[in-house]
Amino acid sequence: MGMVDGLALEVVNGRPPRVTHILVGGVTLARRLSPPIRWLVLWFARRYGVRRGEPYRIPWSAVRDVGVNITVDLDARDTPALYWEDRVGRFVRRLP
Amino acid sequence: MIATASQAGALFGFRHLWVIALGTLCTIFLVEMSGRFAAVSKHTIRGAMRERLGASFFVLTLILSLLVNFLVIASEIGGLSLALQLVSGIPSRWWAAPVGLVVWALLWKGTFSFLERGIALLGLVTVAFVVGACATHPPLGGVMRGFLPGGPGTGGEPARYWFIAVSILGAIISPYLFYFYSSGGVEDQWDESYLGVNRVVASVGMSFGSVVAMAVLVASAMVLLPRGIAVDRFEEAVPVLTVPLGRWGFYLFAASLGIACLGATLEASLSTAYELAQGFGWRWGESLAPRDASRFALSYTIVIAGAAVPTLLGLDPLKLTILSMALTALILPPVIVPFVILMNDERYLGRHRNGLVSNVVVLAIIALAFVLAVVSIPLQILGG
Repeated sequence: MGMVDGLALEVVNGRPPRVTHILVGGVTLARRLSPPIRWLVLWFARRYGVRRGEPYRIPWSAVRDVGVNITVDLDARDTPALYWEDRVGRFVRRLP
Repeated sequence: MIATASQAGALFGFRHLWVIALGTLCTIFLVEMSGRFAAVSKHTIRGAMRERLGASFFVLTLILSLLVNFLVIASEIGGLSLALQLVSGIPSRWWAAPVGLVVWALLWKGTFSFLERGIALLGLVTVAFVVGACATHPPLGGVMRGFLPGGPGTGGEPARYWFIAVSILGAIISPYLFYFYSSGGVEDQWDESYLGVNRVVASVGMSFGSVVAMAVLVASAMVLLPRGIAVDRFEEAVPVLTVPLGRWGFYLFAASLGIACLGATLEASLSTAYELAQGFGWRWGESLAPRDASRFALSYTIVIAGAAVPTLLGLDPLKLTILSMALTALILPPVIVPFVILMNDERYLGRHRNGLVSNVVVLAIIALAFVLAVVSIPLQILGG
């Protein structure tokens, strides 16, 4: 399905932070990089991305196992995680 | 490696043999670790670098690695085109596009095991260099003395000598090799039962390449040095085999050069796609159909197309090779430092983590990598 690019935390006063979502997508990755790369990726994602610059969020409730690999109870084909794989795939299929 | 080894022999006789031996020893250890990591963790070194060391470090090393890989692929396509020029008489620039197309078609249609076995089998032709070196009857004492670390000797240019030494180490300790090897382990579905096989493949495979490189150096020292040929162009290295083996030597030189370059082009192109795909979490696998790993397949397609351009424009492949080897030496620290972290991570390797000896060796290689990185550019200016 891809790499975990970030985590969304819920912070409520007086309680420890709680992980609510896993974030997947180049937009989250780009936020940790230098400004020119971040700007380029965000511009591209807003212009052409399936979620217009928003990362795909997997709810923590879908997580089944956490180790070196993380297993989630989702079918990747039902998510936008493979959007670019499919789009590039349409072009690749035209090649011999 | 043919380029740097022939230059070394032509200019300094047997005096760089110890450098090849040192580089080979380092590579054997690092390749063994790459394979062990893949077999035990089912993860690749590149993917784990992203997971364990974070996005910023990953992107920085990716940019450096892509630049060096591009130069390596460009110089190897140039070398392969030149091999075809030697045989056909048609200028190498005209071969760049067909060569790029053939390399791409092999990756597009081939599977990992087909390419792996094909490269290994065809690579046996490079034994011609060993035969050629033996046929020149080199003095055993002189060859043995070449394995003792030393400098250029009296009258030799120190900057040139050490620049070639750095280039040789850059050619042998190639980052793409480790990423390719660990990806291959995952592609071939290695598990812990392959640890013995991994040790043998790492030792024997790397030693084979090393023996061939040493043979090129010895033959160059015996043939080119007395004739004052400095190997400023690939073509000038042809006598390395034509003098000891006659007409057959010419064809064997062209075949060896072509096949060595083809193998390196395939490996470096695949490695580039592996690095991108594993770092960004794309589907990857040379054994998958391109439509099932489309971004992976498109990556090597773009890289090969771009890397054919320098040869198409008539750039000298030898200059590209020397530049790429020096840059490889420059980027070695960020490539090798992660080994000491990853190879000691219990979550990935469990009881197969590095022991004391492996850790001491990898720390020594890191120290060497830092020295190479510091001296590579000054030496490129002074002795390149």
